[in-house]
Amino acid sequence: MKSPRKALLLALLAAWGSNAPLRAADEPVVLLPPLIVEESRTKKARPWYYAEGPGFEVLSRCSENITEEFARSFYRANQLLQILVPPQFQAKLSVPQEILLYQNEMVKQLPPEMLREMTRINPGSVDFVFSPVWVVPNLTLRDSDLDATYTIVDERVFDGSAMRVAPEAVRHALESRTPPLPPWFIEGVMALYQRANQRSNSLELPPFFWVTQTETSLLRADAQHPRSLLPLADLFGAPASISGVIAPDTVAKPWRHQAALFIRWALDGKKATRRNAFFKFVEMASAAPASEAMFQECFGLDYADVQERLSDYLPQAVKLGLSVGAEKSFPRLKLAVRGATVAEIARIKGDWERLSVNHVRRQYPALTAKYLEQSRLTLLQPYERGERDPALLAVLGLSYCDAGEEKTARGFLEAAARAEINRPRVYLELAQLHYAEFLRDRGVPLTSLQVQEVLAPLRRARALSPPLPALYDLTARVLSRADRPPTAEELDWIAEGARLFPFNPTLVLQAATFHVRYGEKSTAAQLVERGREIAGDEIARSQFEQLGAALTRRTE
Amino acid sequence: MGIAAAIPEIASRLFSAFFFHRGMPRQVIAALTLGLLALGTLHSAEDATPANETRSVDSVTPFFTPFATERAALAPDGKHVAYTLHRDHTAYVIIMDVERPQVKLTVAIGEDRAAVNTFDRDRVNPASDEPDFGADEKTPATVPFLVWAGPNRLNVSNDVPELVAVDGDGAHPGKLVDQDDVSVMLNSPGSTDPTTPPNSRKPFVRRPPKVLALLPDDPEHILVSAEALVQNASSLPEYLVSVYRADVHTGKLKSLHEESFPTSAQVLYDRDGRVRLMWTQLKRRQTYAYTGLNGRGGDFAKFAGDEFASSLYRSPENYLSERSFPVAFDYDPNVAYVASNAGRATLGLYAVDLRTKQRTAIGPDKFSFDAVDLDHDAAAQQLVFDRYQKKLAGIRITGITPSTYWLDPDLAKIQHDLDRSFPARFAQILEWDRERSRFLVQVSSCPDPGRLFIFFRADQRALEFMRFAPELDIDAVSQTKPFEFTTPVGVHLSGYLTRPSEPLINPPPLLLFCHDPLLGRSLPQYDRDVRAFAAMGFVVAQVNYRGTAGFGRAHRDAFLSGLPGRNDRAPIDDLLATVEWIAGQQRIDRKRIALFGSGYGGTLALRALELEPERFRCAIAIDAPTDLRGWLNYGDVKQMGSEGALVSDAGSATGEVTTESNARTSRQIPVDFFAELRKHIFASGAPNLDRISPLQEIRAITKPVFLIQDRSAPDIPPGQSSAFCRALRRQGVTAEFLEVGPEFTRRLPKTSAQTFGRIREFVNLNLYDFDVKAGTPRVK
Repeated sequence: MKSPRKALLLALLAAWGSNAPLRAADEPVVLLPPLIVEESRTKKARPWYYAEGPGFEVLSRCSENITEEFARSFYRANQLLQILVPPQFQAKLSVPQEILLYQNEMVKQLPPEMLREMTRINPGSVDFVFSPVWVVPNLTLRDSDLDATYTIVDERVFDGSAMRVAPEAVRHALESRTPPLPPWFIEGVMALYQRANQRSNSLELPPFFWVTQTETSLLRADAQHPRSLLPLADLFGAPASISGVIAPDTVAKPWRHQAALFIRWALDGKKATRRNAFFKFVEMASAAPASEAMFQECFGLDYADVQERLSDYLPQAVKLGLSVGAEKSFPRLKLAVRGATVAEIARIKGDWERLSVNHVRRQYPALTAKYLEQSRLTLLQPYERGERDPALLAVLGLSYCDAGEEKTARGFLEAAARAEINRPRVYLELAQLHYAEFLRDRGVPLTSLQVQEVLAPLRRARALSPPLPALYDLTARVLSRADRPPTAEELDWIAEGARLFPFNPTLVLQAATFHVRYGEKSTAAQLVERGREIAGDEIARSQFEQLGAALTRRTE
Repeated sequence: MGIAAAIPEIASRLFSAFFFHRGMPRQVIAALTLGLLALGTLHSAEDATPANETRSVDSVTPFFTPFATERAALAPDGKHVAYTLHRDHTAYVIIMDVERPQVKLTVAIGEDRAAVNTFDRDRVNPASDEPDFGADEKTPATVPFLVWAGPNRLNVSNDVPELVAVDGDGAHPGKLVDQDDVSVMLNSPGSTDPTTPPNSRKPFVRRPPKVLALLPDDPEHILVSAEALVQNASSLPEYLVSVYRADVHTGKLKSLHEESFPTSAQVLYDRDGRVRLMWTQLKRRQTYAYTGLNGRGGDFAKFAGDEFASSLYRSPENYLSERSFPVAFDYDPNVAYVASNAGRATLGLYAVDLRTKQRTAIGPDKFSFDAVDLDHDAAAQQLVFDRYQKKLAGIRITGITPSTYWLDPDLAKIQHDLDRSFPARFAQILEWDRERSRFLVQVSSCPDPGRLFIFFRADQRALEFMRFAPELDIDAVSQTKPFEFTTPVGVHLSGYLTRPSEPLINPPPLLLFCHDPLLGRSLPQYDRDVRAFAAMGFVVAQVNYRGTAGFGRAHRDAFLSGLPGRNDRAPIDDLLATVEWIAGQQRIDRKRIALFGSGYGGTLALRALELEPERFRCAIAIDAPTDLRGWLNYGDVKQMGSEGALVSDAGSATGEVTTESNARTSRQIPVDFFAELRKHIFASGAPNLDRISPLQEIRAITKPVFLIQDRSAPDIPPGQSSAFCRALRRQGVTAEFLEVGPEFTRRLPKTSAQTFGRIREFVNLNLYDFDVKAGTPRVK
């Protein structure tokens, strides 16, 4: 029988493999280092180092120097990304990204059966497992409020200057942003970013690639070479077939390239005004469907004006590279690498293991107990030795939540909440526990006091990032069972869920239902209309039609 | 540079597919450089910039650069598109494979020519110190005709003129018809047998061939006409017109018919090349002489039905009032299209069945605008026929924005798709293939003359393949928007407002663009003059004030009806109302409002300066009649004094090729119709005409004036503007005068840039008050 460690490795590989189609076809294959996190039992083991930067923390088994270089490079890579994607367009998390940094030696010790399995999944790719250009993330596991990344480096050749944020991570940051970014922006940014090179203070976009190599070459040779551009209304209002992952290439490819061309043009203005107008437009287009009036407000130009400009810009873009610099020099990172505390080691390792368990639970349910046991070991050992770091308690609470052990979880979560931990899921889980308890004990309706007991932790979660759809769903469910009508603030809260997650039919339906009954008619009408647009099946459509009819009756 | 750079590579691959026919006549080779020409190897022969040219000229030069393309045509099978290309003083035709647009063939058509002017510079202006703008400027080569016949046979005519043809893939290039092929033997007008060799000793007159039309049921042939002015001893000079059917592959001609017409005649052909209508300018009242298919005919009014009976003629009295006139014939030769405003406010279009005299209104009962132009030829250009389905498909309407009223619902659907794809642009379907799967589309706007596209119906894709003004920097182009408003006295006005992309001062000055209201209007299209003024920092307003054509009789009469009573205030009041309206929309410098006008529009600009001296800062008037009485009588004086002007430029100078002077010695002198029209409008015989003449009120002018006159302008007495200028100077008013040649009137690039450079200097000194020396402006 395989060892638990090997089994976990296999499980993680399988999980990664299932996500592989998300990568662009021409992107280099990234082999993830599927190593289990465990304390080295050798006496020569290095100490754990800890470093903290804006939005991330690193727990490292590499040398102090490498740890620092890694942290600084990671910071710089994120700053460079912000030139193309300012922070307001990336998913924001209150919990810093947890990075586990490992040296590569453990990977080299992979047993033959593991190598065979890796080869099976990614034929021919094992040879360059240690020369990844895409250092971060080698493997990222995610919770609803946390990104945890497991990274290995070869200390002998590690070059932080080559580090850049992996396209998968950029895509995730874009796609997780709320309210959702328009698809053309995500695809356009991805197309540009994947070909961009980094300089110390700028992103260097190479000459633009237009649809095919042939078309690109022809345009380079002849600025008058015919070209087809989509109307901007079609670019910004991409049909579902385009915005989805799978789309006909003949349709999606020109659309993606034009999205990239538009963004490149917007960044290529001599004055910052065009770039500012562009980011203003992205902001507005993520809050409401793009319109020509919106576009004109931002650019002072109409769709046709810019379509003509794109057509004229294209021959220049395919010929010339573009250096996109930061408007201000990057702030210097104040960084201190130090030895990690017991709590930090336990929390970050434990969180990683907890997330690993979740994967194993989905892929190999029969093995879950063993990995859970190892995770608990990591988390409980310091706890039992008296460590009460609230962040550690939060991870413990979430670990028990994941395992369905609600009673145990509640104690840890409440302790973490009392310490006002910045972890939205902690409050959400607490609220869920309260709500379930009230339903068990009393049924409906809920008293005002009970409603407040559920809403109080939700309110704290709401103040943190990222926004969680489950938070809004629970809010609506609680209020729907309350013995009183919702307050204006609560109505806004519910509407906020539909605004942040406009493609979530449940949240839109809940918000529409509340507003048809209690809210302003104009808001209700907008929500009903939105619901009609996104209703995926006949039942959902029928629900929104009924709400529309109810609103009409109310209006009459 | 784009095409120039691309062609060599393509040429190297395709040259073998496109070559001369062995045995092709030398003159054909000389005129038609068939073969792939690598434009990249063509040298740019930029005119040297004279040292004394200023930056004023440079700043407006781009607006007068000839368009890179003139026309385009889509093959019936939709596989190729042909378009003209003008580069480095040479005109080319490019044939592009629509499915593989990188595959292009290039045909050299002709070179720019030295300007051919009908006036003698030294005689007219022997001692002028002024630079003679335009003296060395070439006339851009043109491609008057470009059409596909058969499934993919391209027919092109050039300036020479001759007709050439080539297959879409470059095969079978060759000359079809030239001047020798349709030459006519003098003294024997009937013997125009094309088989007669042109080098025979008989006295032949070479005639320029013109393509009349495609033959609806015979795609392998086209109709070609040729005409020459001939003088027979026993009669008045006449035009001898021959119509041929030409094989589009071999050029073989078959003479269809030949007719002679008075020199003052205008004719209307049907689609089979028969002359069906003719009218002459020998009388003030001109009726339309109709010829039926059976050869019998008479006054067209008798054949067109009672509704038109009282209005189907042309005279100065009815030209701008109630009038009907023929526009074109349908593919059914028994159906004619007639424009008429009889009993309605605007010109409508009707189909008249000449067998039954039944008329059918085309389009909605009430157009807000005239459905077609007042002029026959311009009106005919507005009708869009479907050559494949052999029917009238639509009417080009020029409203506040241009549009096409499609009679064909399928084309209306395509138009809808295009309007959606090109919002805020004018998308005009020029042609389509037989299957209606591909459409040739021009997309334009006021600030941009536009681009050419192939629109693929199946996937709604638009392939842009040519830009009319590729050198135009769109970012630097001033934006133009149409406007409409109602004045406080209830006059509904429309027009176009252009905002400068880079104002020189803030708030910017305003320039009121005064078009000639008698027959003209501001059009929703790229206007070089407007662009040039906007580049000078002006907000430019083009106002369709009362009197403007195209908006129906009531709008026109609101001005014209005042003229006999010597009241010309209506357009000026409308200009003042427009100033107020604009000031309510955006900031303008109300102390810096300039007037610019051409023709009678220039007269109005001067009159506005006289009537409202406190409201306007200066005026620029081009070819403006300043003495209306002298202007209106000039036609009579000219007819008596300008004998010797050569009318025909087609024939060799033999004794038998007549001149207009010969004609005038006869008893029947053609009427100068538009001179008569002007006299009627201004009631020239009535007293007090001087009350609305700028010269009479010249003392009221206190603001600077710049007068420009084309010394060859046919309608303006020479010296009128210069005399007006001198009179202004005598009374201490800043006044400048510039005499220009016809190159400016035709807006040839170099002369126009120089002239507008002078205008810019005038503006700098007299409106902006920039402290600069004349000729070295510091602005731009």
